[in-house]
Amino acid sequence: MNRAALAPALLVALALALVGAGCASALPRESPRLRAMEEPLALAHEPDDEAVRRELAPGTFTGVVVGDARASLDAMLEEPEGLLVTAVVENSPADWAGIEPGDLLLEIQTPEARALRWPSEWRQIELESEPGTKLVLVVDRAGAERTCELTPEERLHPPERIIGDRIREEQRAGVVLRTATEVEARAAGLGPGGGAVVVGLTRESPWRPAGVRFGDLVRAVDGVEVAHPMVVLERIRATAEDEVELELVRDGERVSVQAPLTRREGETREFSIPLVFRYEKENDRTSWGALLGIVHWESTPAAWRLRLLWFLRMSRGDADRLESAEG
Amino acid sequence: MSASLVIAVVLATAQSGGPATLRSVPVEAGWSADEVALADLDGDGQREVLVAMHADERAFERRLEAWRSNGTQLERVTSLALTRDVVAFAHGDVLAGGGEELVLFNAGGAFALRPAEEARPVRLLAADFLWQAADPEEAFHWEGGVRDIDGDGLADLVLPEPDSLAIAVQRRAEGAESFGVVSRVRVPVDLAEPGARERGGRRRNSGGNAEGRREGGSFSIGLQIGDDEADGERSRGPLVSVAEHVPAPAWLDWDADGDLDLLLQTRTMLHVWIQEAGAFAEAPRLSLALPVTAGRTRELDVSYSAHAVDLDRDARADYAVFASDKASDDVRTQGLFFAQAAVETGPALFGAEGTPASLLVFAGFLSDPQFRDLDGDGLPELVVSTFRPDLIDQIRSAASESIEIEMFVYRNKAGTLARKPELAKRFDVALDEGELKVEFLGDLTGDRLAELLVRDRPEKVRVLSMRASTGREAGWSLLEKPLWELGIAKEARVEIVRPARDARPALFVLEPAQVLWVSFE
Repeated sequence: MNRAALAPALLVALALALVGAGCASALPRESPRLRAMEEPLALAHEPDDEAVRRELAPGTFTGVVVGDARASLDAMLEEPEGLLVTAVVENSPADWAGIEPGDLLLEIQTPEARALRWPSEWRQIELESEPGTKLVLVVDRAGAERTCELTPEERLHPPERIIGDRIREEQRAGVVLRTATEVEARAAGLGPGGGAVVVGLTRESPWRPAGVRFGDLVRAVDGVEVAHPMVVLERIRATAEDEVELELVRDGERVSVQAPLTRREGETREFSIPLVFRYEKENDRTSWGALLGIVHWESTPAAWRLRLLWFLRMSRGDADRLESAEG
Repeated sequence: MSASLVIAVVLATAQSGGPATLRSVPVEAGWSADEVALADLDGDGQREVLVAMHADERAFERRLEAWRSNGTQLERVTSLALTRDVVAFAHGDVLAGGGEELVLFNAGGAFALRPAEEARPVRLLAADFLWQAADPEEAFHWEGGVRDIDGDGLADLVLPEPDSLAIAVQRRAEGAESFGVVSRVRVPVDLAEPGARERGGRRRNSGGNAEGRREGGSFSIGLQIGDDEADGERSRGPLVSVAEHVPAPAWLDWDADGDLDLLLQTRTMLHVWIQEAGAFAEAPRLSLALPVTAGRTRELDVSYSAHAVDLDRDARADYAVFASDKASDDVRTQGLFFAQAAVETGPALFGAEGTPASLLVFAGFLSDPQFRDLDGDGLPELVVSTFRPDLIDQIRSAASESIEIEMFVYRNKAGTLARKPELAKRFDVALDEGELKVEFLGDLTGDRLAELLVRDRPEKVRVLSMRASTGREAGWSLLEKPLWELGIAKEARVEIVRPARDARPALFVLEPAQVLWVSFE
């Protein structure tokens, strides 16, 4: 074999070696099935702590009922900005302050400046404020921002119990979280509606060996307080790191855990050296060709076909399917 | 067999309630159920019931509830409030991770949402969805929006846009956009006219008019904004008038290459797009002149309908059109059947002369023709209902308390419909609140012959068994004694849901206080 013929052959061998390296291991293409998720029955429902909740200090009363500000699918793609005022109690501090349903509460300026995103944050403010303390709020009404002052009063009755959410993450951690009850959240120093309780873990979840247990309450993730279970989910999705730092509350004690996150490895789908070699895998169809198409192999689970020198063909199986796959 | 055992068997049979299992989904007071679907949302292999509902007194209070079967009981697994921009919903496995997801459509495209788990949707496809405005009372079930187009087992997306269809094929390669490959099929503009009868109006708003319609042969949306009652007098016309439409897609293999191709019919043409590895060209590969055009005169033809169907199972789409015979003095309807296999020369399907491969003539008007395999041989039979030409006079004069509607089944033998009906059945439908619903469910008894669902009285729905007889009286007949029957609320709506992979459909009865789920296991 002369050198001219040897060079393409070496390239083919090199290409095959590269492709082999890329495809040799059977890497998972899908996240774990939901079946692999373990959710203990004991955690299927919130604890019945309503009697305890009613004994808690009710905090102050503002007359504002807030909800998620994201009112469309497009808005839900992003993090919430502001709190939507869904109702204002008549003759309440909010009513006197001129707040109306449909307003967006963007931030509170005094006594401590902070942006508002989750309803639990407003409930936290109501709990922490003293009756008669002046709250300065930035309110968005139909795109125009304005400032208003609201003075909370003493709350006589506990507010309605919050209906929690269940959040499932199965790409990087394999975990199911539910909103902590008000009793759990306030014991952890969070507002009602904040905190996320671990109620499910996949068998392969990297959080298990890291020490996360069923029933743990996630208080903060990477130093950010969990004002809603979505905060945990967002952090898992957004971080470029291979782990997150969880601040957990377990049996009343705060525990810090470095919780690893998985990365799913992909398959080599396409590889080519122009004019010399081409490899392509798409679903169950695999094809490769070499040396300007002198050798071409194509296969599906049902059939295969080998073509040599553009006109010699060998095939077996349902060749029509190959034709359709080739397009 | 001992007497006690016989009694036990009889009791067990009685308690099972026949071949059907009945479950009830409660509907909260002040809410109404609009749509139902079956979807495996948690990936456990069992389908949950999806119920779309709305609050009776509050606009844009709409939600989707999922109910899981737990024996004969149902438990609600999720209740998802829909945002105001959601126009329609569907379901399908559009994200990795097992189980189906909810697919929500708004004016800007399609989104996936894992019910009960994630509060945040995932954008699947940006598109100029034909229905831009959401209905304040209903999120409608857009079944055609999710289906496997390229045959790889993954759900793909089909979205109607003004004068085009966006087709997005799902890929699950790591790092690649799941619905990154989008074909936009553009209907030739000069011919894109609504081509079929309206099946049902969707809505009417106060303060200007806005209508979205699903039609037999096209989707359309219309918007009129104007002051109808200006100064107590009707204004001359709307200030703004928008009308958008695109023909409804029919997905069939056109060229026997094993994949689905796209057929769209306009008023005068049948356009064909050939699938090439999950992609479609913008322009049609074939544009065939229709032998029976759907012009303005056909808009008043109650019998007119056109269907793409593979009559001879040669994996090449055929075509059937039903239209009133204008040349006849009597009121009668012609059924013209065109088969690709019958054309030897000239353009495909219709040939040079537009001569049908076969022809059927029906006395009177025709209603709701259906092609469905009723004997398990893989060939679709034709099911039609006809009513007398003097129906309107009959209703107007109130000469009787019921009207007669006849159902005929034409058997498909080796790809050709028989000239005489294999089954004929007459139904008397009550005039007051009367609505005839006859639809074959599939084989429920194991004899290969399909059973028929009948609702010819508003307060009852029943399933009739079909049997075949041989000899001189050869043919099919329906047993008088129902296989199963159920008393329902008069105002209830009956829906049949056919899961994609199952032959056996489920029956849903949407009553004011509950949704009855009947499964024929």
